[in-house]
Amino acid sequence: MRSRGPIRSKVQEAVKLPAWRRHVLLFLLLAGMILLIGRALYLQSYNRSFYQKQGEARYTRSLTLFAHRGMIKDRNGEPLAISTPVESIWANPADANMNEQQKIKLAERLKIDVAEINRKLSNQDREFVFLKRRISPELANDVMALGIPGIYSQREYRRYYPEGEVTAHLVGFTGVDEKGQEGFELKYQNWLAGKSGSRHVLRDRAGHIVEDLEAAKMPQNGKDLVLSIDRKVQYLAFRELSKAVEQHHAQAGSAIVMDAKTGEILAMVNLPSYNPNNPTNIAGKSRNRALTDTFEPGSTMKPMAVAMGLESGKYRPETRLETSPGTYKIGPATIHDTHNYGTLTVAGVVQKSSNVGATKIALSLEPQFMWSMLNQMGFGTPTRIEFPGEVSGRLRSYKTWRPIEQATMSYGNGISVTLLQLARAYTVFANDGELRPVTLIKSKEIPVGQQVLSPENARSVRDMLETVVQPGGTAVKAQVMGYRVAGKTGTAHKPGVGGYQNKYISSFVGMAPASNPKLIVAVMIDEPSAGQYYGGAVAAPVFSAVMGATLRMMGVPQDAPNDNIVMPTSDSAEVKESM
Amino acid sequence: MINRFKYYLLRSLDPFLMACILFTCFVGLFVIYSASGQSFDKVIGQLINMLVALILMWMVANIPPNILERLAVPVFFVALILLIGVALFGEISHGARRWLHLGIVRIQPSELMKLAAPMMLAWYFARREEGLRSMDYLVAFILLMMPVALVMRQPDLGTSLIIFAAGFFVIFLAGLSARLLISAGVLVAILTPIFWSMLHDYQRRRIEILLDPYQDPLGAGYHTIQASIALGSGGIFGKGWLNGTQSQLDFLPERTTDFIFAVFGEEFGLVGNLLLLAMFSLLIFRSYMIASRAHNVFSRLLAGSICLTFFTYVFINIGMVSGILPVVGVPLPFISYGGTSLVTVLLGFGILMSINRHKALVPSS
Repeated sequence: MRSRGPIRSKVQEAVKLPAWRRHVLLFLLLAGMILLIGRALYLQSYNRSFYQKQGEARYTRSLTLFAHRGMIKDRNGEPLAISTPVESIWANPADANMNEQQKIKLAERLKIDVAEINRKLSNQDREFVFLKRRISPELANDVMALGIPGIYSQREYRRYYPEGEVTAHLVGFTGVDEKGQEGFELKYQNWLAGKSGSRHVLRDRAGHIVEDLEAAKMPQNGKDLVLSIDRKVQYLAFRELSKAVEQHHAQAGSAIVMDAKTGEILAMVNLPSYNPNNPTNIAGKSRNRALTDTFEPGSTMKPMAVAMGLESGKYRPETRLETSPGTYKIGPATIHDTHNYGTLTVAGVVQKSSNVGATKIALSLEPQFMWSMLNQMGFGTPTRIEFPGEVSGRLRSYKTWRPIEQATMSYGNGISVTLLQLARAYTVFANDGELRPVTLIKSKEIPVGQQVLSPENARSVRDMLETVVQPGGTAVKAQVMGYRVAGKTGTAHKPGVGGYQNKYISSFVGMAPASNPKLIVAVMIDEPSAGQYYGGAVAAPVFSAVMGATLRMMGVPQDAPNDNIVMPTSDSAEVKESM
Repeated sequence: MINRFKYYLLRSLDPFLMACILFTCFVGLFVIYSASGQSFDKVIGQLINMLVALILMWMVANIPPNILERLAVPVFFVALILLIGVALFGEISHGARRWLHLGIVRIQPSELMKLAAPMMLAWYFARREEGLRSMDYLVAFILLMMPVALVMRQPDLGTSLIIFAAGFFVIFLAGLSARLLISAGVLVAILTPIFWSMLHDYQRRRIEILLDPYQDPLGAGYHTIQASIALGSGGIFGKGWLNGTQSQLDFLPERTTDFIFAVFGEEFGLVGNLLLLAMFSLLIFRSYMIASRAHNVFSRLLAGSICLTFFTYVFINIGMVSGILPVVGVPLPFISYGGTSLVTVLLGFGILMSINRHKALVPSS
């Protein structure tokens, strides 16, 4: 306790504020004001450029303007891949304030749980979170009509493939951000994608664009890509191949329809296929097998052996060859025919598909000559078609050939090819000895080819190929109503671990109309396992159906009377080719 | 006749204070127009607030200080009861219980307390003038802490801080001994580290962020950082009226109320900032003069408190917006949008004008 006296005197002085208190007060007021002024100087003068930069960083944004991805079309302009606009709904969690009612409505429209919305909005540190991607513009309008703050919609494009699995292997598909993943979408990524533009904009805290700070760089839209494919032919080929693969319980299959003159591919189909609109579980289904997978072609190679024989000058079509007793020994190995055909002409070797005959021709040729002929017909080198993943097949150097290898190559063993290479090699027979380059892109002019055979020899082989589909040949089922057909079957054992297995690849390659071939169709069916496996039984019917329908569709003039189809009488055995 | 009317109307008003107040209010209308995204409605609304507040100021300016002195006790206790009423029946908005519905009017008793508390304490010290004891400071302190605690619990840190300041200034001006003041300061300085060590981690973190907003730039620190950026990017001459990007583009929170100074600073720059500070300094200086010339204890204490409280408003608001003080909700007088605090501030100036005019009429002690 303090004494009373001093306090009273102090109070009496305090009627007027004591001088020291006045001074302290004035000093404090002054100091306060000086502090505020000092801070103002620091912020607005000394440090202003730092804050100006900070400010700019907060209100300017660079935006990407997405280019519209080009379409992929067939040769008639029908769409095979289209970009359709879709909307993605996103939220800024910090701004997205909604009541339970709104939340339920939002969840209903987006077809997601309220719990999921809560979870996505729970991270308040993020400024951007997708609620639902790729919904239709109509639904997005409905959602935006709810008027919930902090919920935005963003335009995106979704790739749509109207032909689905029919063109899946060619067109391929795109992944995230419309980047091509397979097929043409991958190969022509830059062409299709175009160039995105940009905008430098002033933006408010809610993300709304207030104004452009400089002229926007407009996006350059992607260009369209027109394929040589004909959508209708493609569909037809897919349908017929599917039937055959299903009927024969095959593992896989491929078919090619090619314009024999221009080398344009009108159809290229493969099985198994997948839906490019929803590419999940595509392992083993996504390969465009017609040019990514090789196989031993078997007898479809015999016309090449015969052509080489003619070209060597040692043989003429009517030259006779002894094939009895139907076997031929080379060292320890023996080559078989299915029957003993006795004496055959060179033409007969093709018609009956005699391995012994082909072997005899091959062994009479120089390895280097044979290799160079095969090489000129495009074996062992890629076709350089504009497609990712093409392989070259295998044609070993002639320097390492042993006689048995030279022999088996004449009937398509010990050499591997793609179906595309095989189809291209047949352009030599279709174009009087000229090998035409192949393409999947629509072209206006007939490309310059390379003369591989003399026109006479090429025509001779084509004539021989016509006999294959006639009674006494191996592929009567390849005949087409109203058109002359030239072609060759192939049936090959599949090589496996420790030698050839009892699994087959059946094939048929042919052309029509034989008088002036317009189309080449090549069919390959992998492991038919429903009993039949000969090319004439499995692949030839596919050829016939596709070739016939395509010729009629294209209005190719007929070169044979309408009742040209001659089937062998039921009691005469069908000719089976040798393997 | 007209002259007499004019005289009657104007005699109570201090021309110097009036000039400063009207000019600052005028500036405020322009800033509100810009800060509200060019809303005429807001400007009109604030204009009405100003007229109402000016009329109330004029009325108070005509009440002699001795009447005010007699009103001090009833006003204080009515305000206190209303505050208790708020605590019990108040309306919750924005997470705080501040408003009370009385039939048709909705009032905020804590605002009233900003004037009622210093009036009450000034009355008390004037009464005890003859025999002031240490015990009297304790009583005054307890009287003050009742409303402060009630307001803090609403919770309204800014207002309770102003009430405390207004009351504390009366106690200080009444002659609170320097020794007591210093020993209290020392005690706080000693207790702070002990108190700190007793806190939980999350409580410490909250205080740390309060003191250093950059520790939490997207949360509690967001206001302060955005305000500093707005001010700093204004530079020396500002971006010009209606051209402040930070404020116009919605980056600045509460930009028509507590943070309006950032809009002003961004658009009018350092020059405008210094002009506004000069205007506030003139108001404070004039108030200080009135207080020091007051002729009785009640008037002197009340005027001094009003002057210092006005300074406190300005200092806390500008200090908070420019990032040297933690964020507490205190509006900037005459500039921030809103009627309630404007009425309180202008009532204070009305009291000052009354004290100034009636200094000769009140018998000197």
